[in-house]
Amino acid sequence: MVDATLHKPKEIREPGVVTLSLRVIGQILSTPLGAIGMVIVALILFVTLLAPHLAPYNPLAISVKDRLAGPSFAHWLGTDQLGRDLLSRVLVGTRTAMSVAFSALFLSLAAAVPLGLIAGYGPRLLDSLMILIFDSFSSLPMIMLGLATVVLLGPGSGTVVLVIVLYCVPSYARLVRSQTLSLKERDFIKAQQAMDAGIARILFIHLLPNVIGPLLILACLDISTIITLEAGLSFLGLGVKPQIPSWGNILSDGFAVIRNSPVPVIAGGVPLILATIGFTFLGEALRDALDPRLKREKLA
Amino acid sequence: MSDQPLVLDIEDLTIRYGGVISAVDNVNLSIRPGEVMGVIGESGSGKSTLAHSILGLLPKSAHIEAARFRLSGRDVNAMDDSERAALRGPLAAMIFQNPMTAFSPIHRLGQQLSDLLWRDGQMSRAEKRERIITMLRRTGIADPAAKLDAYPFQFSGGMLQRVAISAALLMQPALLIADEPTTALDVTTEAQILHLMRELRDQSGVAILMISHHLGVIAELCDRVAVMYAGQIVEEGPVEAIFAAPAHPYTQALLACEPALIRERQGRLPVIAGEVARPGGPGCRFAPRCSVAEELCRQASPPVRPAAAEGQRYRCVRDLA
Amino acid sequence: MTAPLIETRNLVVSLRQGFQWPLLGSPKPRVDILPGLSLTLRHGEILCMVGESGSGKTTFGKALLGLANVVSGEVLFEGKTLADHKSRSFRPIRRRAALLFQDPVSSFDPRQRIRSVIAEPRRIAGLTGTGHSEIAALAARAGLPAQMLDRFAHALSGGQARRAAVARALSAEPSLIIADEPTAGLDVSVQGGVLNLFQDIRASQGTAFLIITHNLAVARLIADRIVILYLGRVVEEGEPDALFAAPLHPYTRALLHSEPVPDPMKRRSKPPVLGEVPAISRRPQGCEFHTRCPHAADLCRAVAPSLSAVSATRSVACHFPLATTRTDTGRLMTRTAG
Repeated sequence: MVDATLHKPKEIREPGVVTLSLRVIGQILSTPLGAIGMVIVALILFVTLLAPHLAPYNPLAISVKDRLAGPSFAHWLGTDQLGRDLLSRVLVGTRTAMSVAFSALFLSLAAAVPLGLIAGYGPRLLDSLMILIFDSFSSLPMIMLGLATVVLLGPGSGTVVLVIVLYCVPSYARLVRSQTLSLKERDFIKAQQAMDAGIARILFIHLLPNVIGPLLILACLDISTIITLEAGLSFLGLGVKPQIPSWGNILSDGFAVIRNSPVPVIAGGVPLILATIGFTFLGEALRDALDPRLKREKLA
Repeated sequence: MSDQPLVLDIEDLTIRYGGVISAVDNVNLSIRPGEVMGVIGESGSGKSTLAHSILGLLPKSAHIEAARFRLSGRDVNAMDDSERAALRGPLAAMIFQNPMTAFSPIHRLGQQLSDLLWRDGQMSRAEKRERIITMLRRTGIADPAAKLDAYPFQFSGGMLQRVAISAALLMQPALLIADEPTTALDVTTEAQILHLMRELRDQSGVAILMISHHLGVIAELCDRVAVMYAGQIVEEGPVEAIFAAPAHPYTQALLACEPALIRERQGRLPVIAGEVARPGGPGCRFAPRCSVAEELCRQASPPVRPAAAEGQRYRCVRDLA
Repeated sequence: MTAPLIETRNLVVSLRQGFQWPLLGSPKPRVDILPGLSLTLRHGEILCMVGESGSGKTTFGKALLGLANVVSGEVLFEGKTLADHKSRSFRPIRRRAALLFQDPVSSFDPRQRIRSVIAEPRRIAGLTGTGHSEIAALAARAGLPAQMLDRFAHALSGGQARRAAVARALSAEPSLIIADEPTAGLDVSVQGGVLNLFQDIRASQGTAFLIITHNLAVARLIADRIVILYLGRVVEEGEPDALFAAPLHPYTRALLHSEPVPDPMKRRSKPPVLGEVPAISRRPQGCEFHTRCPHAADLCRAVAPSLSAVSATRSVACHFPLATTRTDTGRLMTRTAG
């Protein structure tokens, strides 16, 4: 108490949750790549949320007389081989891509976190068994895995989500496991054990919040892979149903008529490239902003 | 004492980080050949910053100003980075707190030690090997020839600190800077290392700058000692005088807190209340924690004045002499 | 006479071994950190356990809470023997004892504010008293300024972190606090404050302390009883004044003489003991200290001495204990005697 009254301690503003996220956003925006990523991702999210209102036409409305029209004032990106408005299809396709990506990510995280925690904190035998399974899955070529699943279950959005989940869960669970393994040897977890804390308390109050940061960074970097995977499967006709607008379907349709017009392929490809770039930049900027090692260097 | 130039001669050294905060402030320090100078201070006293500045090991953000900064008569102040780097070795060498991190883990010790002899290009490999073995034996390594093929992890901490001392002395420096060299060691090993350092000083005449927070280590080894507080030297003098009759209130309080100097088991142990003040502002830096501080202490910067013993000086508004 | 707070009988703790398939490969030899430690800790006493690296002092503190790989031996808590060595059996001790880690900051969840760090033992035990004012009262008892409660662990100074750890320990009203190197890394000018705090807590709460340290000077000032460990074995045990006045074990004497004395007029002419502590994987036969002992005889190299009582409060494990008459005054003791 003495030292408090003698001289005022330096005012240290502790990072609360709000100020922390504001600080992270500020840090991301301060790098050019981070800013580009942030803008692209914001644009994509904006389109995803408002796609039906932004789309000038019904993306499913077939108009044979307008088929394969070039860009015009009425159809900014022209139309496809069935006369559907390409701009509308691209906009609504963004929503398809994002809903597949985010639902797949959410399911992957929901499955990977408990699996990783169990593997990392549970008995060693269980850990070895789970690592064996994860490794077996990761060793399968992704496209083979996708094809096999589609053959078993038939094409459709659900199948695409399942393929992505099967692809993502092993690597996410491994990350959670390795984080858990190193954290559980740290003193603050030992201190919990010494205080006779229950396993749920250790896992969910102390381990999980410390594991989730790196996991979210990995997930953000993975979104571009997932989008490409979804588009790829759809392009091969193994993904979302052909009539539903998706970037992969637009690409696939455009590929068939590429001799007539390159516009459909470009219209399907550019948003895919943009989204890949945007999420990758954002993920990397997020990693730099959250990486404790870099932060420590700045403090020193 | 002799005509030889001072091994280290620093006048009015100030080191700032980010322009404002001075980690080292207005420091004068000189070391004669063969002298063991101790710098004692608690965390935040700037003792390590001072030691690192001598070898130019501070980060780029450090801004160094000095009226005089000489190593064995050579003006370090005027040198650029590469010239300063060339001084590491012949003029001054350093040993660190943790010997485990002072060596590369993937190379054999013999290789790492002979790399230090790169300056002596004309020396043959066999000669270098001979010199390394002699040096290792002098620092108390048994069977040194066999140890040349070993990797650092095969040594204990105490043994590695001996090897680190050999490595530093191989370059025949005029000044050996030791930054808390025994803090990471066991107390029985610490006693051996301190003994070794004194022995090497007596044999080779190398001067030593000993940085420590441990009063016992300073008393055991040093000829003179400088007491640092918040970036300033608050008292300096012969080690016997400082321990027998400390003049500065901080030195007095520090000695009073040392458990090994407390005779009786009394009810409560002494402490210095408060924390190290952030440097800056007028007045004595120790004033907020000083038990005899007056109003004047908080306003004016205290002068350096001589104390009773010869060569003992302290920085305080009170006149004891 | 009530039962002691904690008693261990021949407690053996070894390094954890990796999985080994049955019948495949030769079994790895077991490496013992503590090869059989018997110790009694009484209610309300301050016991200092002193030793160098490899002495197993930290391991012993953790073993009492079931955080080490206990292989055999008995642990009695308030007279009752724990059922087995499984982590769960140590729950009665965990509820009544608190552990202060050597590095307090690392023992706090980096994402928790100090306020909720301190409240945690109460939450775990399902106790009330986790409100703002109760936690502030706990912090005040530990001498931690209230404005520190809203900070995260990394924003505390060394002394403050220590006090926060003590506040957390106090929040479960323990009957034993195990403190691992409570003054390591602290400046001399603040370490006294932490030790005073321990004594205050003992005086007001009757809490027993097991203080694990390598600092004999600190142990001399606060311990009721000192236990000297070497390679996991008790070599000597006694009350501080007697121990410092006349060490019976050559290792105790070497330790006393090794600590550099803050008095330049009392420099040593030669180091009091040569060599270093052997690795626990290469534990010497017979008496563990014989490789460094100036008085070692053939008997010492062959047979390990057992700990035997010299008086009611003093015991030593040595075949040839230093003669009590030929008092080889410890250098620290010359000062105590004045």
